[in-house]
Amino acid sequence: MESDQARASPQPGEFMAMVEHLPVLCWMADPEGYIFYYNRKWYEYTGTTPTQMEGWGWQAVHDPDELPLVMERWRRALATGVPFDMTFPLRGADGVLRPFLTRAVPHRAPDGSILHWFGTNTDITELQNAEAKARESARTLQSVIDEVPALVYVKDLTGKLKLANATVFPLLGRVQQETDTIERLHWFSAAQAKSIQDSDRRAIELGQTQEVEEQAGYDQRGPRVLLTRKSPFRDETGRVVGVIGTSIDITERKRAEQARAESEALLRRVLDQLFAFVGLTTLDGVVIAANQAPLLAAGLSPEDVLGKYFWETYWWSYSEETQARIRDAMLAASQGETRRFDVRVRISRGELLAIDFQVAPLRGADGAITHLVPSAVVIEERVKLEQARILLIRELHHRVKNLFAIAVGMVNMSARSAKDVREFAETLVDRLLALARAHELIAPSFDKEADKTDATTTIDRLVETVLEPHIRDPSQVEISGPPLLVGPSSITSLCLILHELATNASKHGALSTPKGRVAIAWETSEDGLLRLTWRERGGPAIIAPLEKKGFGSRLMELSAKGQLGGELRMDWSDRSGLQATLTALPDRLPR
Amino acid sequence: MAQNVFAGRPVLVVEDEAVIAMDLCLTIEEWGGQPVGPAASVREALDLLAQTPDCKAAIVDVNLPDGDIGPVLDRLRERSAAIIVSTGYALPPDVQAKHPHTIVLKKPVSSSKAVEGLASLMAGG
Repeated sequence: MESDQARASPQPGEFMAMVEHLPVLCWMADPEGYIFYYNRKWYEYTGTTPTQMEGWGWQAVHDPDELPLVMERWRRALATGVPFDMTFPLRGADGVLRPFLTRAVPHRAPDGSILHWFGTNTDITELQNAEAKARESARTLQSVIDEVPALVYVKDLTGKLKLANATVFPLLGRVQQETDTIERLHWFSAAQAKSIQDSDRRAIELGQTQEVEEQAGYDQRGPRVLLTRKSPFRDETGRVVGVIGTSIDITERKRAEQARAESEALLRRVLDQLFAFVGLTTLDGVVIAANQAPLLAAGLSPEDVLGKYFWETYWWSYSEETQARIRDAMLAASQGETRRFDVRVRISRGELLAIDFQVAPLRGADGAITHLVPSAVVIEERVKLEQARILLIRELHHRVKNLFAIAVGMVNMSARSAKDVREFAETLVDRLLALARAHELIAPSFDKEADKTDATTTIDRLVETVLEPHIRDPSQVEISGPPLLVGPSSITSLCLILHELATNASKHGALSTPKGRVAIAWETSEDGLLRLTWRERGGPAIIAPLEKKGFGSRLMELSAKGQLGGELRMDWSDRSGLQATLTALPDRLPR
Repeated sequence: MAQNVFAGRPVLVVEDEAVIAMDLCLTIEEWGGQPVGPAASVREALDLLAQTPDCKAAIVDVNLPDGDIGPVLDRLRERSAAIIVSTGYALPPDVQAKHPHTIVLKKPVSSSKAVEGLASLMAGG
């Protein structure tokens, strides 16, 4: 045990050997600063002798420029007893000044008085080189990242900026590095700050690089947009201690993209709202684009036509002949010739619609044909209108001929029954005018619906119109009945019957005196048969019935039988006035 | 002279327009014929023909409330009647095909022209 203890506690000679061989320069001074010992390392480094160094001789190896400060600090330490700590150069045996970190501490007696000063000088050339290198490399790094045309920054886990390149600061304005979080700056909106914090957190929590588009601040035209990569920032142990971000300002690019998208969307909306077709095909006729209206009209989706030959789409599927016609037109267009023609296109439920179709070549800047543009406008209404006009003209033409035929008949008939030319002229003119007025009622309107050429009127209007020239006082006539429709075929017969009855009444019957009255009433029976009664009262007493075989009564009978399919009965039995009853088949009146 | 052609023989009139029908009937009377009708429908015309077997002349309209004149023409052809068609339109294609040599007068036409035409057909036949 004793020998163990002896080995554990070095002998004074061993301490001396250790001090002499320490790899640092060591020395000892008395309380007044007089150095009375240097170790071997000191003499080796400085290449001096104990005689040269003893006491204050050490000043010889100092840099004369630094020495006054060293002396001042050393004297202050001796005066105050505060440990000395300073870095200064010492000249080596080779004449080179090297930086030494020098420390000296007082060795005190139990009463606190200083017995000695122990000092060491440590060569820190390597350390200083390393520091300088580190500073240099940091400076290089900073200048490199400052040159990067992007924002580069490192934030700690709390969001505080630890490092940022020069590009960041114009964006952030007067932010001071490491003093504030980006998000707390007033030129970020709350929503922007939250979004930035969220993406920071995702990078940190997931430990994965995030790529995000984020808004950061505003300019006069709106928010600025950054395209940002955020990666977790790790220390040497791999622990995530923050986030490294690089951002590119894509504000202008985004704005240009948005402006282009908006103008494209606007054009698209305009095209889609047209009820016209606009498409684009390759030179071979394969559909590349089509606006919405013709797709909607045919119940198709874009996929149904895109990539197909235009003539093989649903629109033309109703006829091989039409498909061939479209194909030929597109072939011609691919050779530079615009083709245009009216054709029918198939829309939903197999319906066909008339269109004005055109296919034209589209040329590039160099004049070469690059695409074909098929387009069309719907002309169905125009075609319908044209057809309706033709029908109308035919109908009118026929009606005119028919009226002339009736007029010719009337002339002949009136000529036969008239006593003289004057009476002939009067009765003929009256009959023709009655007819003219009646037909005015059913003149077809040109501005009404196109396919409605069969203009009609109602029976009450017809009765009023025919009677109007024969009455002086409207209270003489009483009309009652439903407003049944009267068509162009039946109107002539009805008009003639009413005209003959009214003519008789104004010559011989109730309308020949102011006190006379005529009641005209009509109704339809359950089976649709029309029954119209003409009842005269208050006229001159009937002496004799109208001549049965007279032209007027014969005309009335035939009219009732012919166009109306009914009959006319004249009852003279009541001497107070005529009662006439007209019947007509249900379907005849509106014809 | 022409009036002798009729010599009281029956002539069918088919016309649903009363004024024209009357005019034709009176004209036929004036020419010495015996008007049958006027009939205002196909049905009525066929009835009258059935009742008048010796009627071998007719002046007819084409479009009638119950259809076109076709069946009446068929019946008239069977008895080799003289026929004048008077219409605002034309004979329908199928009727025209069956009766290719029928004389068609376009309305408006004077009743005496129609009767005269019929007279010359009767004289010729």
